[in-house]
Amino acid sequence: MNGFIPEMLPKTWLGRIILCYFIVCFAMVTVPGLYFANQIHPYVGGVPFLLFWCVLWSIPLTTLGLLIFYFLEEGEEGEK
Amino acid sequence: MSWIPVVFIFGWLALSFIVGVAVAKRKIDASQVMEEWYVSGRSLGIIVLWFMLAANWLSAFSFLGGPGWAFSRGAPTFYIIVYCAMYPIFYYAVMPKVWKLGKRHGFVTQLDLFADRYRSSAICLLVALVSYVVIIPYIGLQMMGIGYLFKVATGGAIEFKIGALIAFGIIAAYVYTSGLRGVGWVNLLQGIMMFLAAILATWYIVATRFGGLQQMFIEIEKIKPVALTLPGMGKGMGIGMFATSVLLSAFGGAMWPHMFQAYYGAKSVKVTKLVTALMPISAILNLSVTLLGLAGIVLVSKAIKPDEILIEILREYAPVWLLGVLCAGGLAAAVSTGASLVHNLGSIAGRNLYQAFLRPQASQQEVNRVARWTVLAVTILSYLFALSSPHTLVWILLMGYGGISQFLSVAIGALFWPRATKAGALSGLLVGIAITGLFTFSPAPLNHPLGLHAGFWGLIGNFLVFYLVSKATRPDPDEILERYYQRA
Repeated sequence: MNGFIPEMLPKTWLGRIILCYFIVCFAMVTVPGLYFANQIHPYVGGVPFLLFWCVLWSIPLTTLGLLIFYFLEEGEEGEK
Repeated sequence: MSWIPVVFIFGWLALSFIVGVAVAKRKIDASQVMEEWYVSGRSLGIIVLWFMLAANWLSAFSFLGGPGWAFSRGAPTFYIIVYCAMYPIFYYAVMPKVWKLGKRHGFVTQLDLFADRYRSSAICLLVALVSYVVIIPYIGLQMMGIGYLFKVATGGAIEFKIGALIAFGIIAAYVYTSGLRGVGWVNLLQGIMMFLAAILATWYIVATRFGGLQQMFIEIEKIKPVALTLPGMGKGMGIGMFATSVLLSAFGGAMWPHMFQAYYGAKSVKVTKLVTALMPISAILNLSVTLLGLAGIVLVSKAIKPDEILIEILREYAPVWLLGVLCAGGLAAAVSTGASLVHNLGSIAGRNLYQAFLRPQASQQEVNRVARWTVLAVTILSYLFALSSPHTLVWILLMGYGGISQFLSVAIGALFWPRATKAGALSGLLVGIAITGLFTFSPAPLNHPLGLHAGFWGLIGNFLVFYLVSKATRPDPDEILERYYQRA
């Protein structure tokens, strides 16, 4: 490749695992996740299931994933 | 008319003005003039940057239009919550590298990056043109939001056009004086006000009118169960459209030039990463106002414009001070986004048009002067747009948002793909914009074909052409590529 390395995909196992995790997050709030979650019942946390599902995967689980990735990356860089 | 909301609005604007002007650095080294005004001397820490990005992202549309959608369409609005929490994933992959390149090569705008990587005047002019065509109407929409809030808060005593003029006069003054530093610190204030207003108003209405979230949704389910699942009410939104809208907004919408510029202002790469990791939390604001919009399905039975639902609920069911807080929150949403946008267009004019094409030997002071005067010119132009033709604004914005999304291929190529060439980037961009325009404004069956977003089709065409043309053309010289990528 032209003497230079494309950087579109993560090079480490950690990066690949995290990438898969985020793909799952996206899939859960788009396709196919919404085909399963597009319903009112059961109510969870006082809200209809679809809203609960969208909020769960997008706000807490995305933040958690990004924070874990951040701290693992920082840890790795600290070791280097 | 109660004076409390008026006091809130004017008090808030006065505070914004004082903070925005006061944070300007008085003594700046001549060699630092541009970095200071454009990117705050690359000095922003975690808190200021987080609030600045959140406030930039959450516009008057999020604050007033989002609940309007929830009220009139129901569940399709959830896509706004989702994409507002999802775009940071993409930013986490992109922005640390954007920041590093900016620091290393002195970039202060998104276009600096594209111009340096592709060395193409045509790409620069096209990206600048699309930015202006999209952003001026977008600023106009913020002005319309402000004008509307003034009208509501004063019971019509201050007209739309006067309210918008006052607020944007203040914005232009502090952006002119303090650049990104002023935008950052004022957005910190605006962000706090937006969150406070949205969460407080939602808590108050849900607790006092329904006694809890579950009771609220049970009542909505009794009246309009269709509002709680896709495709929702009215025009509706199927799962395909929902999914492609999320993808387009989270990836393509992330290409807004003022967001890139805000990231250049970060103090370190660590700050860019941590801020981005915490950014999905900002979608709590979208969630709050969406809940209020849904509450309107039960609380408001008379015919109103959907965008007025938030104000209508608060006017009917909340104390007047809370309406004042909410108006200040709405104002904060519009002011913060508007300030960043006018600053960005000023920056493009000074750096990427004046210095790049007209006077390459211009001093930093001269470039800054052009940027600052452009801030004033853009403010006036947007104001005239807002007054003259609100419908045209929405039309241009619909088209333009798809246009901004098409920068995605150019950015990904510049950051991650050594084989990207200027011919590939330019042709991909042109094809993407053309497809998006065609599928946005054509009648059925070409309008959003197969129920998927027009911009999504544009991106498919864009990336395909970008890839094929880049592969078919000669790779860029090594001396450019080694500024961006590691050698094998």
